[in-house]
Amino acid sequence: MSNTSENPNPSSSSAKMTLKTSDNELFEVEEAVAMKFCTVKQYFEDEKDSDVAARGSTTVIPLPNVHSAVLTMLISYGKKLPQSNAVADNHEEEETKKKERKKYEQGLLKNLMPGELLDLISAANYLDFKEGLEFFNQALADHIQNKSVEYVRKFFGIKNDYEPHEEEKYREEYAWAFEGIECWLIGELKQFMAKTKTLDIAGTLLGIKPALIVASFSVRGLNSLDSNILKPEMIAPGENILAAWINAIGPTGLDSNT
Amino acid sequence: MISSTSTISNYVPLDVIDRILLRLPVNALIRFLCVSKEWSALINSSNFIKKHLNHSIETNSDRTLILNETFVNKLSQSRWFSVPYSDNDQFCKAVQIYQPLHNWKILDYCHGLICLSFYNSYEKKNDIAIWNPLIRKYRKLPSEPIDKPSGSLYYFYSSFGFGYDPSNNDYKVVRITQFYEIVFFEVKVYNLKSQRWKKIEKQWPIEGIRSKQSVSLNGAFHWIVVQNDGSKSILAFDLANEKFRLYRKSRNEDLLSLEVLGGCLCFMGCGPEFPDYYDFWLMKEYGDESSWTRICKIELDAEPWNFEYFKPLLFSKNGKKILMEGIDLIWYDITTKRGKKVKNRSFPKRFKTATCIGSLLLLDGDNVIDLKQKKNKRKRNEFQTEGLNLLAKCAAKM
Repeated sequence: MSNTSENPNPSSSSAKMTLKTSDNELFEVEEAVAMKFCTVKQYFEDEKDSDVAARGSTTVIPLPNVHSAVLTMLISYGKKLPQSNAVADNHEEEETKKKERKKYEQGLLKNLMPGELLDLISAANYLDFKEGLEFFNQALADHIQNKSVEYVRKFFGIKNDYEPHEEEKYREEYAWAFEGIECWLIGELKQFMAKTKTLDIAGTLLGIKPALIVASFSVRGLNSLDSNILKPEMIAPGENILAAWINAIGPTGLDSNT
Repeated sequence: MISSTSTISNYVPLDVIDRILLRLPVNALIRFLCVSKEWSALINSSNFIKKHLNHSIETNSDRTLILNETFVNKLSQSRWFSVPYSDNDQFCKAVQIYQPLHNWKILDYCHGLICLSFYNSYEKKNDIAIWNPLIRKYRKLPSEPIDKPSGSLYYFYSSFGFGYDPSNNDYKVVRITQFYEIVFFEVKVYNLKSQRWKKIEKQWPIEGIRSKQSVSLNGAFHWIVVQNDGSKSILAFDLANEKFRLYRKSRNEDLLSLEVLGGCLCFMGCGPEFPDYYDFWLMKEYGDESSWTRICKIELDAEPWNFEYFKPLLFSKNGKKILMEGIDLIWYDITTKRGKKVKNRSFPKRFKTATCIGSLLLLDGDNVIDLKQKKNKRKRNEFQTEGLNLLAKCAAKM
C-alpha cells in the first residue's frame, strides 16, 4: 500500500491499496474506496500501529472469504458512493451525482441474478461495507417481497419443518397475505418463457428507410456449397459482436459495455 | 462462487436473514410466518418487532392513510379505506378495508396502531379497542368501571388518550373522567403489554380539562386545561414516572386545539379579534417554553374554508406544506399561504383520517375476519389454471 504515513492527509487520490481475494487475484484499489470496507480499514490501521518505517514495499491485504468476481462488483459500487474526503459539492452537483448513482444502481440490479445478491451480501458483511450492505440488503428484500413461501424456502435453502395441517392453518388464517402472490411454479415458467425467444420470419420487407448497409468485412455472395443460397444467411445490426461473457467482468473491464 | 437462483442449497445464517426481513413490508412478513418455525419465531419476537418498527419509522415504509367515512345515513355503516401514500406525497387509490367493529370511531393513532372508541349511550360508557389495519389484528379493551366519588353524581365526561411509553416500550390508553358537580378526576391507564387497567391515584393540579382527547408525545399525554386562575395552559402527564408538567404558551392567545405535528407539540390559536386569523405554533424543543414558534398564520378572509375545524396531520416531504384534515383533506402551502384540496376520486366524500406505518404490533391480537375472504378460495384455483395454461404453451414450443 502506498505509505502516506508521513503525510497525514489521506485525501491524496493516488494512494492505493492492494487487496488479495480468495482466488489469489490482486486488486489495486484507491484508498478512499478501500476504506469503506471497515474490515480493510481496521487491518490498515492495525498495520499502521506496528512498525511502519520498516515497511518499504506495499502490503497486500488478504481477503480469504471474498471471490474476485464479487470484489469487482463491490469495488465498482464503492466508487460510485460519495467519497468522505471529497470536496463538498454544491447542491446541484450533489443532485446530479445522486441521480447518476440511482441510474447506476438500477442498471446494476437489472443484470444481477438474485443468487449473486446473496454472495454480495455475505461478502459485504465480511468486509463490513455498510453502504453496500444497506443497498444489497434492500435490493434482496425488494426482490423477495412479492414472492411465494416456496420460492423463499428454495432461495435461502430452508427446510419446511411445519406439518401440512399446520401450514394449511396459517394459509387459511392469513389468506389475505397470500393474495396475488405468484405461485413458485408460475414464476419459474415465466422466467423460462422470457429466456426463450421465437423468431418469426416476416418475409421480405420493402420500403424500409434508410436501407441497412452490410459492413464491408461481412461475407456476401454465394454460398460455396450450394450456389442457390446467398450469404449471409442471418444478419443483425452491430459490429465487434463478441460471444456471451459472465456478468461479473466484461471484455473491456469497464463498468458497462456496448 | 456466483451461483444461479435455482441451485442455492447452502444455509444462510439467521442474522443475514434478519437484516433482510427488517426491510420487508408487513404483508410479506405475515406470509413468511409459515416459511419455517425458525422464521415464525424470529418474526414474532418482540426484539424483531421493535427493530422492524424503528426501521419503518426511519424509512416511512408502508405509509398509509386510513379513512373513516363520516356522515353516512343511519341505515348504512360507515366504510373504511386504506390509502397508501408514497415518499413524494402522492396518494394512491383508496381501497376499501374491513373493520370489525361497526360504527366505532378513530380516537388516536400511533406506530401503525389505531385506537378506536364507541360511545354506548345506553350504558353511558365508552368502549375502546386497538387495531392494526395493515396486519388485520385488533384487541378490544376490557370494560373498566368508573370509580365515582361519593355522592350521587349523574354528570360526568370521559376523555381519552392513546400513546407510546418509550421507557417501558409499551402502548397505553388513558381515560380521565371529570365530574361537573365537584372538581374531581378519576384516571385510569391501560397497558397493552399487561392487558390491564391501572388506577392513577394522584391529585390533578387543574380546574378542568378543555380538550376532547389528549395527544401523546415523548411518553406523555397532553391536554388543554384550565387552571384555578382561569387561564388555559397545556398539561403534560408523563406515563413512566406519573409526573405532571404545565406548559404555557408564549403569547396571550387562546388555546383552541392541541396536536402533534412533525414530532412536535402543536397548538392552534386565534387572533384576539375573533375570528380574524388562526395560527399554528410548534414547540420546537420539547419541554422548552421559549421554543414556541409560529409556523403559519391563516387569515380567515383569504381562505374559503372554515379553519376552526382543521386539524394538521403531517408535513410534506420538503416541510413546506401541511396536510390538514377538516371537511376535506387540504395541502396548505406555508410560503404561498394557499390551500389546495386533495382531489382523489376514490376517497369518500367526508372522512376522518389516521396515519399508519408498517408495524407488527398486536401480532398476538385477534384476527379481523372478513367474510369476503371466502371468495378468495376461488382465486387460488384460478392460479392453478393459469399455471396449467402456461405449461401447455411451453409444451407447444418444445
